[in-house]
Amino acid sequence: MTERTGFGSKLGVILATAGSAVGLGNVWRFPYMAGENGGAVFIMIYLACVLLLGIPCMISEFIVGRHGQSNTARAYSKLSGGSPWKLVGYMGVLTGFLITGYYAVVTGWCLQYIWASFIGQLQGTPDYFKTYFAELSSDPVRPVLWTFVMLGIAYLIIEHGVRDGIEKASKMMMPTLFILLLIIVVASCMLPNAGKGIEFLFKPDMSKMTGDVFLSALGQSFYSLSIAMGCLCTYASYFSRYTNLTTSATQIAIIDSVVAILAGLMIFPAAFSVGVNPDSGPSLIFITLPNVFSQAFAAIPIVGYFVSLLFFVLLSLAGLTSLMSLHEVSTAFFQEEFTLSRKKAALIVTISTAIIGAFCSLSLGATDTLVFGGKALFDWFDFITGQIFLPVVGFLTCIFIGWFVPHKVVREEFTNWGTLRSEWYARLFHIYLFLVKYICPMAILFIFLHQFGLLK
Amino acid sequence: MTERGNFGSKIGVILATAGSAVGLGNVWRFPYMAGENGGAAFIVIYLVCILMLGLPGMLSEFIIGRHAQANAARAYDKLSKGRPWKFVGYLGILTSTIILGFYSVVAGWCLQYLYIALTGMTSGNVDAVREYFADFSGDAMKPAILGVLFILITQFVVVRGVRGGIERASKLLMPVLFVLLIVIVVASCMLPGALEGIRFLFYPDFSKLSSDVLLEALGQSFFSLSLGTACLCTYASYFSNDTNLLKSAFQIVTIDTMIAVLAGLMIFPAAFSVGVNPDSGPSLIFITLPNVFSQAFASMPVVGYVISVMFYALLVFAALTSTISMHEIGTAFFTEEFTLRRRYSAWVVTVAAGAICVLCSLSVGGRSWLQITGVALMDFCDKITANIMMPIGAMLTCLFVGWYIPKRTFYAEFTNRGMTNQRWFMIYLFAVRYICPICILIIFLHQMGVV
Repeated sequence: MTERTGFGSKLGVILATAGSAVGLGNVWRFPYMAGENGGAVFIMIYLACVLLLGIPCMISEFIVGRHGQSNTARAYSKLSGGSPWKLVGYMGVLTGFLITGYYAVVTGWCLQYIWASFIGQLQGTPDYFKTYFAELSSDPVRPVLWTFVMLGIAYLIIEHGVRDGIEKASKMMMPTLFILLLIIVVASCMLPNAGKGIEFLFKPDMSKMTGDVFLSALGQSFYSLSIAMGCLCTYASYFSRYTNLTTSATQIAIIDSVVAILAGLMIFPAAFSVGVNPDSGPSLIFITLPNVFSQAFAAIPIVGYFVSLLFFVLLSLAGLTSLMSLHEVSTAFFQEEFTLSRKKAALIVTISTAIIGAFCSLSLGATDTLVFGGKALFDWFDFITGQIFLPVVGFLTCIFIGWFVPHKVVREEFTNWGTLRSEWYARLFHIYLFLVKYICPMAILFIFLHQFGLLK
Repeated sequence: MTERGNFGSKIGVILATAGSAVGLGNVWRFPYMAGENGGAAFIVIYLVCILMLGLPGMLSEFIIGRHAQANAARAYDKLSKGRPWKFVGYLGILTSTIILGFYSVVAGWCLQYLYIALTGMTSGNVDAVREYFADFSGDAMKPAILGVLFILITQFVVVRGVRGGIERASKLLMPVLFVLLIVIVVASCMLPGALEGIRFLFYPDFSKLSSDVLLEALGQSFFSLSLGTACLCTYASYFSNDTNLLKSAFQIVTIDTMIAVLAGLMIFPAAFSVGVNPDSGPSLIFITLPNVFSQAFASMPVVGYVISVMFYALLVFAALTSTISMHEIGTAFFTEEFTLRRRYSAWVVTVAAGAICVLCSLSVGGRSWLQITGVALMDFCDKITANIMMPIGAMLTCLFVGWYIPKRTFYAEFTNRGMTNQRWFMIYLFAVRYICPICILIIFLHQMGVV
């Protein structure tokens, strides 16, 4: 076997992995959650959850991946010594594979919206935006084509390999994403009455703190860092021996949180300035915000035009960096397990996920045959991967690292074979081990039960 | 001798060197020049000048510095086979120390304005601001102390070495500078009537293009990259053998130009939105703009406050990355030639530049004993470095690299020993041999008022 190429620089490691963590959820989920659930108080609790759950889970996956120096499935089996723990790796790959398909559909919509804002279609009444999105998502052709385009772009990047493809693309896309975000934030905060939106996002409200809110923060900290999809594990297999896993995980979590908070500063000032109530999920970015932007900048149409164009470019970049990492999970798997060339492996993944994506897209209104038990195929995928696979893989990974893998191996990876400052990291390692053994599995269990309404 | 420090990463090379090129001139000189002299037409001419003069000039210094892996004086000496070319290096070190001295005065003013922006006192009408500036800059104590403080901050970075000090500081300061710039640009462009300002900056007006404008563009492309101060030569001595000189130079000029254009997008939309005519030089940033910002954001005082703080923070950072590079030239020289410890040689530079700084600062208040040939010492230092020392240093550097050193050495450094860029070699040799010296001569004569 030829030698695997890894990431070429520390910056590449951080940007690529942060790119995987920063996705549409940072824009459409976190800000609304924070605003609704107590502002600054929620953000503090969220950061605590990231510290106690997110970062330890990230490090665990990093450990599996870097130790294995191979795709997720093989990385788990290397550490499992032939026991059925290796199934967790296979499940991780499957999760990543399935998410790739339906995530590509959503990012495909972003591309359509880039096009629409480019030719100036995104102007009109609130109802216009509602019908526009309904028509688009139930269209049998356009969204499917955009899904293919998005996967095609991911293919072109992945095919170039880790260093020349993923790392190079991330080094370009992540700074661009950040600059676009900053531009829209400033434009949004300059609007009259922007202060109200900022107040909504940050004003601490202790009365909102309930057990429910706490569990939501816990869930968000778990989902936001792309834990348990095989992404972190796969990317970590491209880290070098010198990559400090703890500081990398912390830096990535910081970037992820900063982007999420900035996204709130982009959305709320504009929404409150025109008196529109923000919401969350796809309807926020595809219905509410196009309307908000076209109204908020009505006085200077050219600015409105650019802001909505830049906004959808930003979303597409955020989506693409995540899609890339998901695609890489399966590509690495096929390449190494079936000893295929990278090109062939990537092609297999692109084509098969394109088929999944096409069915998911069609299930949203184009045909009734893809609706099962009252739920469209698209939502089934979301449900199965998001609500079941992710918590299960995350839970099992923590148990695996915390209880099954010899502590010596974990410690070696954690401290880079003892080269990191010994006392400090020895102490840190104990804290980490405690979190992974007890706190993380329990927290994930709570998230799991909470989703099914078993915990109130 | 212990091993020399060097830059640890490609991005460090680019950001540190771009930091040395990006300074106050990008903010107070280029935008106004572009707007007055034909907008987009001027920018195009400027880019041509950069390609013809800036890039080759930069490359010449890079070649000397990286080949020698030593401070400016020894670098010239190593290639000169016993001839006194090392005096070009000495000249560069002297030039940069003088510039560090009077540049710090202005940087100290930026510190003071950052402070008053933080305490929220920049508002007021234009006459009040003008009076404030005249009072403050003419003061005996405060500006001198702030200038020296700025040199000490610079020293604080420089003593930490190339990788732990300069590279690390640049990696932090340059991205922050860029982010601040973007934020102010967007805020400025969102103001009502901002389009007028954008028009002023970009609207191409070919009727404005005269030979005078061409000379201005040529001069700006020369001064913006701090050619002739041995600064690029010193930094290049910390490059690795794999650093692609042509590509790095290209990226650095791109950053430098982009920041200058963005600075225009920061200044003009705000100025035109409140109907104030922009100008250039220190009066732009210390008198006109405080007034512009306080008027433009009058309806949102919080935004106005944040913008002024960010603006002066931006100026401080832009100045700091430049003073660091000028300080390093002298520090490297004393460290290596007198085998001093880095800490002591940094003190030598700080004391020398600090003395110049104090005298320059005092001369601003119109004290007659600090006037040389009828101009204040501050302006005298500015004139003598910009009009005489820098052109001479750069001219001799081009002649040295183009005609004196073996073509083999030039080729080896330019192509990384035959690895890259071979096809550009002849073009650059030609530029360094003929175009650059002629251009610099023209700039020199233009500055003296002959052309």
